[in-house]
Amino acid sequence: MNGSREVVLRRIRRALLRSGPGHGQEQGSPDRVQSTPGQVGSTRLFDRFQEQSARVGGEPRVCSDIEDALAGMQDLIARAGYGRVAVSDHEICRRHRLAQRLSELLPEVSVWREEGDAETQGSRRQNSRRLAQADLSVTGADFLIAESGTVLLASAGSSRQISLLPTAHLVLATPDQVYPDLGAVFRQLGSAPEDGLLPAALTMITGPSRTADIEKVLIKGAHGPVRQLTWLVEEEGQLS
Amino acid sequence: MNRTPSQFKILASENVADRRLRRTFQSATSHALGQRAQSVQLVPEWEDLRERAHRIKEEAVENLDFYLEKLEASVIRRGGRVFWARDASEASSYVVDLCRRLQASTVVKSKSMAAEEIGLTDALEAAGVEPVETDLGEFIIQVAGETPSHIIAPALHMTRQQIGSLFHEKFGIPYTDVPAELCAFARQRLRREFLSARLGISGVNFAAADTGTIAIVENEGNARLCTSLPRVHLAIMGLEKVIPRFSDLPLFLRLLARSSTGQRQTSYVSMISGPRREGEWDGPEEFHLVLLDNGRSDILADPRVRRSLYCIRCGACLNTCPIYQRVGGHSYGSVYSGPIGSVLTPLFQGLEVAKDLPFASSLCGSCSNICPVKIDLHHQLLWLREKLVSGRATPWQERLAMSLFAAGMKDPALYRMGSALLRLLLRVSGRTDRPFTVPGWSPTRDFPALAATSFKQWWEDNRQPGEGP
Ligand code: SF4
Repeated sequence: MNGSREVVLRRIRRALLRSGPGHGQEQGSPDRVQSTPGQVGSTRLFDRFQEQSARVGGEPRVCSDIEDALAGMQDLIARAGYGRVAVSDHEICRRHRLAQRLSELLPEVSVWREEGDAETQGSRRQNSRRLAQADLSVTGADFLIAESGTVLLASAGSSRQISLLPTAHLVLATPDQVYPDLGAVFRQLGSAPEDGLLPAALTMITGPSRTADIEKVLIKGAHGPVRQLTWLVEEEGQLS
Repeated sequence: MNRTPSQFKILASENVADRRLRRTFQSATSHALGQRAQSVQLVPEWEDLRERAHRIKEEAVENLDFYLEKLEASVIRRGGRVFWARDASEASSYVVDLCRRLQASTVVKSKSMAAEEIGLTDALEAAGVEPVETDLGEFIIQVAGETPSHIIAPALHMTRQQIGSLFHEKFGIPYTDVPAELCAFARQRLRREFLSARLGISGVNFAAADTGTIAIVENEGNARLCTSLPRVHLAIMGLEKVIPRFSDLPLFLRLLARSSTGQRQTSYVSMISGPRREGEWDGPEEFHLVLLDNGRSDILADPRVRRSLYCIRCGACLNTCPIYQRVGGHSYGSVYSGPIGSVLTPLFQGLEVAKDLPFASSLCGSCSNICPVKIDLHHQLLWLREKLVSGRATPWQERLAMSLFAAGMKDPALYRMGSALLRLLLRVSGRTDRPFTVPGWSPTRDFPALAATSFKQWWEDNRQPGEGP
């Protein structure tokens, strides 16, 4: 199957005028951008996040606590007329029983939790089909990056599709998740990510899906969500 | 339409004569340049970042065997499979075989220059598999039976009306030329394909050797769909996409987003390490990574062009190139256009096939200045010219013109006489607007109006006492 492996490697070594294997420099190259840790001054950091996210068409806002966020969701769902809402299994959603509370508040809306058995192909396919029908998804976040207004999601806490298939995607973040820049997040991800700590997919999301492929006209919602909302739930930070 | 690099002169003159196309390219490239300039301006350490990126790429390319083996080991450790392909046909057959095994009748595909380079969609079609392009621009040109005209915006050459008629004819939907409606139609149609396809094919922007992570950068979300819905994900990359460390990614992501579209960050970046892990809700069960040589090791063997392998395909050198701005991407007759295309195409396809491309440059150096990884593109073009010209006779007209020019430039009296003679000739002929008919030159160019006095004369008349000669 890998018949050409040796051929290609030999060609490379010949091209580099080497007979044996080469070696890298193996020196680290940490991102030199100056940054402060996430926890320090996170409100100011979130101000920057809001600014950047809004610039690219994201919809950031601050909620004082989870009740405030719930009221906001109720309003959002009613205004947009969303009928189907998927809630992820992220810690913040689970802890506040978001799916259950939303369906109590909005009995006419179909709300479901992404949970249970992910180990059979059938249940995974069904999850996809359901998500493709969803108008809104609510998830947590793993990191927020202030410099670019970016949300970073790991595939460990939720499916990859829950932030991709629905028409709108709402992220509930906590103050301790806000970092100044990508370099700071990468340092947090670990100095030795080869340990296998990385999830299979890390996704950076900056604003809604977009395209400018037709005459350079900017259109939101090419293949992914048309709306991308990030709400910072302030009180959560103090709890953790 | 099958274009080849040997047709550069014909294609370029056709495209230059098309005023609409010329305007399209000029406005699109200048818009992109403006966006880029704005976002680069906000990064005071930009030059430092370029320098560092250059050095990291140098480290990777100079130790390519080492980092590729390391990448391979990391991908395997994460449960993925690696296939080394020495050329296009080997890579294509691997993908075709995979489709057979999966009994996949359609595959969804996101943008990949490497896949285009090897003609993967043709190979799949020939094997009875339908490759569905899912990037909006790629989808449009696939339906139209066209080829991309820009690295970042493949359907740049088409108008909304053309796309509207195309969709109307091919899909029987009511005619519309509203971009948002056209986009919504494509979204809906492609969703069905995503939900049923068994194989998703993507390109790779960067592959980190230490973690086996591939990074894919995009705005639409189709690459995310290709890599998370189908049961199997296959990514294809040129050998040179490997970078030493996962921790190098932030640097390259910053440089790429700002250089290509002027964004701080593209809408999506997917960093994928192997197939779905146990307990994860979705993601492919199999992950395949194809490492494509296809001429890259030959480029590596020539130290004078080796640096062209640092390219991160941002498209900035295309946008800034005065030639590209005028002739457009199709003129180059190859997947790679603009300055980097003029370097890579002759190297990939042979100097003789693409002999006009190294000359499709004014050597202004703008490409080298803008390149986020500091490739000295214009030097590479010069070197290719040298290789082409050495040993080949130049036409006598050119030699005569050049020796006359050289003589005139060396002798002030001769220079004065020559320029006076020329002015006189022009005036006598009464054709100061378009004085000469030079085939291949004058029909698409406006000759600048002749000034009333020569600069030399003007200087003499206007110079203040005490100023230099
Ligand atoms: S050569 Fe440089 S500027 Fe041109 S596409 Fe490659 S990275 Fe960008």
